[in-house]
Amino acid sequence: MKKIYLISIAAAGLMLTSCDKVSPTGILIGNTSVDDRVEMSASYLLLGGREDYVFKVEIPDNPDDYTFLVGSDSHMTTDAGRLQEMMDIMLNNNDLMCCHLGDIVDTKPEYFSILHNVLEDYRAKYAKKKGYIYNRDDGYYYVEDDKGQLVLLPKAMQDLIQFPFYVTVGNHDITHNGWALFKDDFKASFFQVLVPVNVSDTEGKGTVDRFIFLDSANGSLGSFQTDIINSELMLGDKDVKTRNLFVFTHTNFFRPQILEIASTFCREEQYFLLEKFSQWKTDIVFAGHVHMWDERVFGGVQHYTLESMSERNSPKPGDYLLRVHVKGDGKYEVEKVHMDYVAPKK
Amino acid sequence: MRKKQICLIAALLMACSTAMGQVYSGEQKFDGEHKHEVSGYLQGGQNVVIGGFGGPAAFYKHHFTQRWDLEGGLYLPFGHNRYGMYARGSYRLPIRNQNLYFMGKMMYNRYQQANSNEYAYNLSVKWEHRYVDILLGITLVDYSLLGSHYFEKPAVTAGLGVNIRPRENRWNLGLFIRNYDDFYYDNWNINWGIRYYCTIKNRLRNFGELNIRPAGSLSQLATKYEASIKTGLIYTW
Repeated sequence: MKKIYLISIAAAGLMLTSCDKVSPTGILIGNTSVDDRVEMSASYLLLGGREDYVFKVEIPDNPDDYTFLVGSDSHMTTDAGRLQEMMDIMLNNNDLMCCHLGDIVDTKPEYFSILHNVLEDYRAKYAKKKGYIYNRDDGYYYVEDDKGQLVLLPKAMQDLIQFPFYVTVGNHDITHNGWALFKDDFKASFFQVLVPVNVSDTEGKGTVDRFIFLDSANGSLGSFQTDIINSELMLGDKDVKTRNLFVFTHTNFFRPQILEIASTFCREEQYFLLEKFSQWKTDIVFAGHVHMWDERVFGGVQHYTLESMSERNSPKPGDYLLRVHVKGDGKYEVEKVHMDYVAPKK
Repeated sequence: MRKKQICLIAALLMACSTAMGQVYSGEQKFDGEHKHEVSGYLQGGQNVVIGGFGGPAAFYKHHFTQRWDLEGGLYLPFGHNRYGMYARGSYRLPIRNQNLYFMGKMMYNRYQQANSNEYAYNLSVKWEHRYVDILLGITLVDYSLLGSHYFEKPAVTAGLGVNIRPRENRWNLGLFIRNYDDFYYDNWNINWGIRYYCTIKNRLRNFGELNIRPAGSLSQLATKYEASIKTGLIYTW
């Protein structure tokens, strides 16, 4: 009998340690801390002179009417098909930005190099669409002058034409020390994006649509992030009015299925955040993580939990993305967006 | 011959009563003889949302028979950031020197900071070996705040405990891993820690736990969420 126990334990141990997508010790002690990531993100943003944890200000071509795209859990490995399709949809539809809800790659660090190449391609495509040239060698944007010479754009302009692809960090992105690789491409895990929507407002400092990206990869926001969102700093300068508020988080709040073997927020934090979103007068909270669709209104806030857009989790074509159409009067409509990509048979 | 028969019967009865004593020594508290258990502990800890917290919890358990019991619990931490109460009934099925408990529990929690009310309903089976105990169950949680309420899909409740001494020993030290505590049931967040008890007098026992409650366990990214210590007394009569 003892032999059977020992063989079972050895087999389980072997399975857990041989699978490089599993981090058995992470069940008790994870190898990356949300506090560290948020502190690093805050330092990066504050050093760059961006107050209130604002990552970037995007000025849309048409500030009164714009769309943005939301997708989740692409779990990219060596096949970037679905991720490329998401970016193509964004470029073809002139969406203002893409918001990804995390687990952009599937655990292994080498997938980040594939992701980096994909992002570089789309940085170039996006720049070309805007009439600029992206130089992959130095990572700067240029414009061609009358003589055909490349002229480096000024710093302020460089910031404004960055490829608008914003990602919340997911647990699979960083399980195997992926944070350094994630940070290389996305710089921060906790940030805001502001979209000015009333640039003619001269009395105050204008009105914005505010996009808050939370770092919930660990299933908790941690002390540092909780302190920030508890502070008034979070919703920015009081003279800047917030018209619409959208929140993006990897970890979900509602469990659409019984056997969801993935951690959600602990009880107290779950209630705290639901209450906080309502207090902020959030319009929509987008979440991923659970790979299953759910929509509901809770506490006056619209919640969407998105399905995985990964070609392995959702192999058939389907409506895996959401597009939000924000109109000039501040009202918005949400529609599902179809994805066609199917992985080639091996 | 007659004397031999009496001696044999007496010996058998003594052996049975000794065996009964061992069998009934379960749940780390019950010796099979008393009817009432009153217990209480002081808890102190810290979590990400509310910072430091602490306060008393009190319990009373009544053994109607050696199989059936009913327990009530009340948690009232200082600062009133949260409070909770529950009622739990259980039936014990002895199997040799092990026990199977079939338990049903109803619990109410008030999370003051978020103005939320939570009702939890749990059905569990606990297998209790002399050194090991395993609990498996199912929990339904219904919570309401901000004028909305959500009835969660059923969640699996599970726990494993191991002791270094057999459970009938006067003292013990052990480890546990589970996704619940006296006053919460989590989904897939595991809490773990060290537990102990020691008998001060026959009717009085001291017990305690160090409880580490990380978030993100089954996302393989366990991170600091809550840690707490509790220590208390249990008196039986």
